Amino acid sequence: MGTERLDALVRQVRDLPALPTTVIRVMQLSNDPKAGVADVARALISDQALAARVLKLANSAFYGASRRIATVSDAVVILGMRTTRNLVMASGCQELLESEVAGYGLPRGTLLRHSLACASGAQALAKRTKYRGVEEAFVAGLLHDLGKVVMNLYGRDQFLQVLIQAASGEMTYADAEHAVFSFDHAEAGAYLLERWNLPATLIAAVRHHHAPLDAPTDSPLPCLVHVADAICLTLGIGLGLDGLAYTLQPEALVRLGLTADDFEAVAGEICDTLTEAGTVF
Amino acid sequence: MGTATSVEMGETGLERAAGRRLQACGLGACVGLCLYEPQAQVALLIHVVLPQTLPAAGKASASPLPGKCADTALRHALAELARWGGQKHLVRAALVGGAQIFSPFSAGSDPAAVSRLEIGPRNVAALRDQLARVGVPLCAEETGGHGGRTVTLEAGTGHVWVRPVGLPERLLTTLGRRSEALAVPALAALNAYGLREGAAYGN
Repeated sequence: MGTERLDALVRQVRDLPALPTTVIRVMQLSNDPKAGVADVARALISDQALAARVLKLANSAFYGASRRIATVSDAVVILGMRTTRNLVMASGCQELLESEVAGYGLPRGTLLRHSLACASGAQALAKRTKYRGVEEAFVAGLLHDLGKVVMNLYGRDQFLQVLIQAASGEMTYADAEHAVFSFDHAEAGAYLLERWNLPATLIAAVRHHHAPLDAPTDSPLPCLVHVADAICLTLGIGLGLDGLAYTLQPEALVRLGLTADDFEAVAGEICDTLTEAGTVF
Repeated sequence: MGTATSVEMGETGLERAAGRRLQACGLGACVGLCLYEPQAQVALLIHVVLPQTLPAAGKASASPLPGKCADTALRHALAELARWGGQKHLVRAALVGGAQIFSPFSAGSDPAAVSRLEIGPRNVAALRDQLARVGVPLCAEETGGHGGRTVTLEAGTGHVWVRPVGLPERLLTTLGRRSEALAVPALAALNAYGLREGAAYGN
């Protein structure tokens, strides 16, 4: 593990991407047994731009809410505290995910599109497996590649070496990242989420999204994100310089109790979702 | 080159004005089905996503995109071309995309399980089969491999350009030149010799 190396690299630069203060406040309130729906709604309304993004996401084809959510209070009452917290979290990261990620050859907006498609896919797969944490699957899918933003900030000069290693065709892109940086984008993303004090299951899903069978957890989240990511790469959503040089672990599907037909059907659903969403995001 | 009309997943793009271009970006396992009718100078590009139509789970209706699946895409394409004045017996085709996902590194996994998940090669096979069935000659293709591609089709010339991710764009073929088309049986013979990736039959 390259945690020491990652620590050292991050120390070289002052500004690790931060969560907006409103997101942190909503996270705190959602864990506070004394806080009520009105407190969460009030905190969210204090940041109009974030509140607007939350409503936009809640009503988007990507999230697929069963009814229209018109106000922040509606969101908290109808969707519940937990879902609202996850939507706030997802909306808070939107700006980061929307940026250009030059190290991976991803123009502005491309990583966000990939992340939203993966979130939608993880959610669809979670529903097929009857997993109760459908919202967590959505957020894990959304955040899985956040580490690419971190790598892009700190390791920009070394990406050519990663590309050369990966171009040999003898290793995955994540392995090439390891060879050059001593850690990969999945670990960098998990590192960032640890700094943000996010739940351990979410961190594990991000850390192990390329090797879900290695995750030290019984949660299906790593497998859900892995398969959803594989579907998005299959569809070419957010293909960058890392291309398709990743490992697919078909056993992840087996562990989820899903079949190749489920894989293909969810691919079709993601395609329809993107068509429906149009240029909303 | 100027701007091009983007053809997203499952969509169908049509152009008749000379020099206007259609483009499908970031093809992974998806396939850009390029059709060109040189007399009417109509260009059609479909961004095909899946080899076959699957029942829609939990949805009231099927996908509204007839170009999404290979088993419905070609019939839809020929009907659209006819609506724009194209004649079926003059139509020529090229295929781009259909990359394989992950397999080289999926060591230890059941090859049959991986193969079933490889949508790209199945997309290509399904489209070749459909083209052969309706007698539309497949003049060129760049398929397979492990990288994403962008395909561009130009009306007026039938130029098909391919840009693999991270590499410069290159001309794959010109569908506007009738003399370069090969009959499907001849194509089958070429395929038998393993000509697939980057092959421009008849060039």
